[in-house]
Amino acid sequence: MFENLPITRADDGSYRTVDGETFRVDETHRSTADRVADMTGGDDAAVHPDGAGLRESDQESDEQLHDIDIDPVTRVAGSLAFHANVDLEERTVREAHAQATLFRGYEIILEGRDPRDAIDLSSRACGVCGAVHSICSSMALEMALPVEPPPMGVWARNMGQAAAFLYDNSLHLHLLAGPDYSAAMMADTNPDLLATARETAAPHADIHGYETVGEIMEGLNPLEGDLYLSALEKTRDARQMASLMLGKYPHPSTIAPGGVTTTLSRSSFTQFYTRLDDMFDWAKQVAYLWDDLMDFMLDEQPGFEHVGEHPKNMIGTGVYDDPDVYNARYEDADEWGNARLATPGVIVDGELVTTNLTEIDIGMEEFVDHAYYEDWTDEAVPFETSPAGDQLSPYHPWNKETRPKPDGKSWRERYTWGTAPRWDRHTMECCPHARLWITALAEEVDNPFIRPTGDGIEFDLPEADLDEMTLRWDVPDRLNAAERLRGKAYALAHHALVCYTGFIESLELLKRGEDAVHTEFSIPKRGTHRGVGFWEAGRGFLTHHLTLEDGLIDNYQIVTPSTWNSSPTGPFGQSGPFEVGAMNTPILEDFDSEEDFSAIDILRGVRSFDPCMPCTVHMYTAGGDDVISENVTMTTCGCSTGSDDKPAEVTLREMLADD
Amino acid sequence: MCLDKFPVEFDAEGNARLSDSVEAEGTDFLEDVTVPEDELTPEERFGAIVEELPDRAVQRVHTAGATEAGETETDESTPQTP
Repeated sequence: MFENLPITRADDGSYRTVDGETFRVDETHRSTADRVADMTGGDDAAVHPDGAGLRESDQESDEQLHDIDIDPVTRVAGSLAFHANVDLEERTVREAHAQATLFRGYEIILEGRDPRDAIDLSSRACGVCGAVHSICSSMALEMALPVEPPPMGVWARNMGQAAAFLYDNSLHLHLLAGPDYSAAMMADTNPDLLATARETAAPHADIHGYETVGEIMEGLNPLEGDLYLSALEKTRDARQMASLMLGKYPHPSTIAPGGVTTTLSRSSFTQFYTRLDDMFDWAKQVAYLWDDLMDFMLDEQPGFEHVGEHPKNMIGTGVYDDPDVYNARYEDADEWGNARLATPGVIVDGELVTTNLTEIDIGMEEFVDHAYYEDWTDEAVPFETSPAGDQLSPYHPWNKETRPKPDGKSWRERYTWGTAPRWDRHTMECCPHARLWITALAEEVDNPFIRPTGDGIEFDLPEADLDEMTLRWDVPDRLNAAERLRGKAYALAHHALVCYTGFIESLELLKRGEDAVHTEFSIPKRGTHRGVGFWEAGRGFLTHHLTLEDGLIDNYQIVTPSTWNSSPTGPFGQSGPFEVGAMNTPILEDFDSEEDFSAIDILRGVRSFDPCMPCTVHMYTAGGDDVISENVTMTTCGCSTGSDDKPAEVTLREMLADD
Repeated sequence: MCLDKFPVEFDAEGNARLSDSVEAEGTDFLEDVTVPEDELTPEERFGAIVEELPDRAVQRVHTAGATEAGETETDESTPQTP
């Protein structure tokens, strides 16, 4: 199971440290040299001694190299900057670094507080993902207390979350990533491709209504394209669905350990279903629409398959519990995790290596070698083992202590507030495509409408205005920007069918007289108690690790999908997924001079990961004096840090007007 | 710029503002869901919900329920190897 962590299964089934081995990471660690060699093809001279990226180019070739700073890009609801060194003649990205520019600090804010505060406070980690953090936090508490929610409480949580994902994923596809493929953008960066698109028939026009690929691109024009505007309306409908189950959105106020406190009346369900009926058709249209768009890009833009490309390493915690199996106990997490409608799991080099939540958990470590934190492993760790008795690394979240230490910025040393999470010391990425990928390979889901087949998933979407139809998502050959966006498009069908399953199951519960949505709980006032929430955000993987001491929070650690995706270089020399995705991206755009260079290919790669926030793109030309600054809407938070405090939409409008 | 569906105007500085001149659409846009409570038992609520569903949905709900029941019966009646 574990190739790099120094643990192995003992006779009693638990994971124990291998004799003579240690978790400690330093320059002499046995895997360092091997991993750096993997990264560089064995050319030791190509890397810096600290392994933080490739060496700078020779002085003679500096004129063709350009530093690009995208600042800020994102954390989940904060700022992420991106630095790339681009060779415009060779059309390659030589070096890339992701930088979280804001200190989040929720771990410190929560220390010493009443544990119930964690649900509402951690929710504010993201304006998009308010429900996911609330639910994940409540699940960590459910495990620590412990308390088990009633079936209707579990389904309300599932349905509210699936509805929130319908909003979240629709928003990213059409309002955040979509404009990168809009006619307005293509006219500037890929005019020949746009001309071809206008003459290319869309194969699934009968379903989504766009006759040509060019029409799809026109529809994605920010603020005025009909697809952009339709998606905006759908995001409102989906948020209303989430509100019907969870009280309000974002930051639902009805989530608690033991279920939800929402009043679910007749009207809650009928209003939910009315909107869900529309979502069935929306899911059909979106899947085929993005198939047509991405297939066109892959067919007509040679090299697009490498944009944002990353090794097939993915991780997910799974989501959507089965109330007949979920009991909030860590010792049973493998069983209830595998009963979820989206399966937890880890994929390494395209191979599914586990679907067990306990193995996903003990394989996790967070490193801070290139982050603005101090290492905390100079002190004895609080937990040698997990609640199931498995050995834990001192770098595991339950053993982590947040010690901020802002200390300049150097791409060679420390350059980010983001930590470097690793699973079995591998870099991992997460997003809806990872959720589908793991679920497809695992074949654990047993549902009449969602059928994993080992090499894909079939989704049976009911009749609405469009006929009933079966969508099939196939496991892709490679992991790149196109497949991230395609996976996100098909994920809408998954979310809609979870809502549908929940609706039917809820009616069955009502018919049996079971309408309780919450179980009472109490906070233990003495002793040490710990729990972990395994849930997913719109972008995938999410954990909240919690330790209670005498009734108060002693330690709280959050690992979000963007922590994985925007990870800096790790202690073994591996760059994070954004960084690798950018370095693998060829420069495909049309430009006559460096002044015309927009970095759209790098942005398409990074945006495909769904970094949800506003970004300001500063492009520094060779001399460093000529700075082009553009704001690009990437936020699902509705805010912007753009120049003159203008709303992101306005700045984008101006940008397009300038074009 | 085409924002006729949304109650937003841009001022001279280019800032987006909620519009006063599109009151009707604005009200629709800002209106959120409201859920009146009911005094029904769970079983009565089930009946009331099904009554309000479109026909095709009712058919599917009954089919799903029947399928579940059918599967259970089949499982129970399947002869077990001792």
